[in-house]
Amino acid sequence: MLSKVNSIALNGLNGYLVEVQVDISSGMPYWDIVGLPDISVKEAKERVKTAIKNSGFQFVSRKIVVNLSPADLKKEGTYFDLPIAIGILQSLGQVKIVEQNIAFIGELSLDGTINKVNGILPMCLEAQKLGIKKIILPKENAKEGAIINNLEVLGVNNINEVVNFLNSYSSLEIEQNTILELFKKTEKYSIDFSDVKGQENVKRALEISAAGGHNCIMIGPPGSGKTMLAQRLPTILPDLNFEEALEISKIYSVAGILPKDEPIITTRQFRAPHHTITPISLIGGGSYPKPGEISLAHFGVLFLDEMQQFSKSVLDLLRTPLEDGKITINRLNYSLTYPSKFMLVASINPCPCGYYGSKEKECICSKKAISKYISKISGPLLDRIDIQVEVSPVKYSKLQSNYKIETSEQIRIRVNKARKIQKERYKEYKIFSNAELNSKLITKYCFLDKTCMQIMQSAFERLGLSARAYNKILKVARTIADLEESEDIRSNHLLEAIQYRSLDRKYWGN
Amino acid sequence: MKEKGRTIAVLGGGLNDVYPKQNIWLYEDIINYDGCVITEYEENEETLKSNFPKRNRIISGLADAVLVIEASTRSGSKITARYAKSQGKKVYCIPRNLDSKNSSGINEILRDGAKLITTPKELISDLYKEQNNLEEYNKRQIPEKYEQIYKLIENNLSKDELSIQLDIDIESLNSLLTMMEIEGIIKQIPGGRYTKT
Repeated sequence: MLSKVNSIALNGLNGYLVEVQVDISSGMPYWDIVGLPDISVKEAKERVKTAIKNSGFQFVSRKIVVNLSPADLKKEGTYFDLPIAIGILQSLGQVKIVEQNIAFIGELSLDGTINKVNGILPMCLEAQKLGIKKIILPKENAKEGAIINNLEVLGVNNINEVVNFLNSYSSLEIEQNTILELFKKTEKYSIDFSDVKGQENVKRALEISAAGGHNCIMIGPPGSGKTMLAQRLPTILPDLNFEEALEISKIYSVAGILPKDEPIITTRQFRAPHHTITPISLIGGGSYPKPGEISLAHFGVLFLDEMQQFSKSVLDLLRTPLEDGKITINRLNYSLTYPSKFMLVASINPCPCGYYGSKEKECICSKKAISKYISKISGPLLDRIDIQVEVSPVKYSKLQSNYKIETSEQIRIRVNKARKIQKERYKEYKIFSNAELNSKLITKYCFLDKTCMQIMQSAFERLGLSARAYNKILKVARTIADLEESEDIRSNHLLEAIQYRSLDRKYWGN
Repeated sequence: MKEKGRTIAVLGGGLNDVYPKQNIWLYEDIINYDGCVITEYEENEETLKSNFPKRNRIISGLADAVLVIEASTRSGSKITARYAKSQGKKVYCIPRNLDSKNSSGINEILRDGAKLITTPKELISDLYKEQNNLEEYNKRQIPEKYEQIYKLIENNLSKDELSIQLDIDIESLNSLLTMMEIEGIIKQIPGGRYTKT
């Protein structure tokens, strides 16, 4: 007898409907799964068979064929175990008719228990779009699925619960949607900008970075607090809206690292991969495709500590996602796109020994070594970093001083305001921040009056700035003006912006 | 030329023989910036390599003093320095790395009694001590609004420290510093700090 059960599969971050068709007919004992299953799906055979037996049902030795339709897309993962088992039980007459508006997702244990799987959030989102009314999924994943509105999410522990429910012997509890509660939680970050004493100059640079979405590089000796500062950048980034939070959560769901109790990411993420990272773990992909670090940093901060230590090939991969805000991975078997709109924050030492320009310790590097060290960062990548700032260590005596220190919240209020101005200004161009301005829009929105023009000219002559600095200074000046809620770029905005071009200075020997 | 000083070029050949040819722009710039190009040769005379050492005696002769920046064992700079000495001019040089090829000449010049210079100030004070110009140099006109910063900068302070001591916010401090840099009063040094020019 033929039976059909609905399930959902994943392609990148998007789900799609899979119809699990099961046919049991007389003939030699035989059991095959077709529809481009990979190893993990093929192994479902053993799990399903044993789970059905151990749940107290009869399993017959007949000819069983399972087809996963659409049959031309590669299937992977263990979430078809449950729909296949239900299909078989239906074909065997153990389960009455299964309505078409129910979908099943879940991995089986040999004893019939249903285990959690990754990617529930995008799957449920797709189910809701397809008009599916009820979704039966592992109890552990139920909270995550319940985020989606207009979808009855039924968490189950084992096969028997599902069968009893389908046969109307018992009912299942519908998981409550708690998303708004979770989202409205105020205490979001455990760290704060006020934890950092001193460093007002770098804090200001980071505030501008946050306000205009500018990528930023910090240059400073070891122990000057670069990492500590970068970690706190997410806390001053503009608040996430619901759609953004959902998109990040989708990525984390697919990666399988969404927290169980509060299955939505409500904060901007901070990702700091180690410099030995491989290309695939940075941008995503692999034989079982997973989002990489740049996607996990979506709408958040990607921090590259000691940027020169990263291999050149890895760093160069960042160029496209920095430009496009997404990464498309093309492989023989698949092609998928993950979003990756992140802010890049990098930190470097000023020289091989780390103490060039430091007051505390003398640098032992030759001019040539310093110049070589700095030039290790590729020009095209540096071209995508608007703000360069030098960090110097704070003295112990100052760590104890208690003059006014702003909290993240105070800074974030200003950042939010500046972002709002930008959003409004660029609404017809589909961009959100000054960092995204192209040269045409720069001419339009970063207009300099005569005084500013003169400043710019003499700055280039006297300070030896490189030509590529020009547009970046304009963009940063625009953000400073927005922070002050000023319509025009005034000379003090421009003058300040010029200070955030540390790497252009002559003393690096370039 | 950028600093609006005046440049005198002394040629090793006739005026019409531009040598090397691609440096024609330099000739023009020198003239345009109120400098001059002079030579002891006839207008159309060819530039000979052997003329250069001789030409150097005019250079040193015109100068008040000679500052040697680089000199290998056999170099024109060394010759100029020797001429300067015999003409009774002052000879200065900048210390260099012992191993560097371009510094071996410097050490010879030093041995011959040249004076060692490490900062522009040193040079000026030594050159003009008889003329009492030094005081004028020190009493450089610093606009009033920069005075406070200018005084503090001597202490090798970071921006944060400057901002606290001056009691101004970092935004205003940054604009002020850029302004002073543009006007050539201070310059940035590694570590995000500043020094007087």
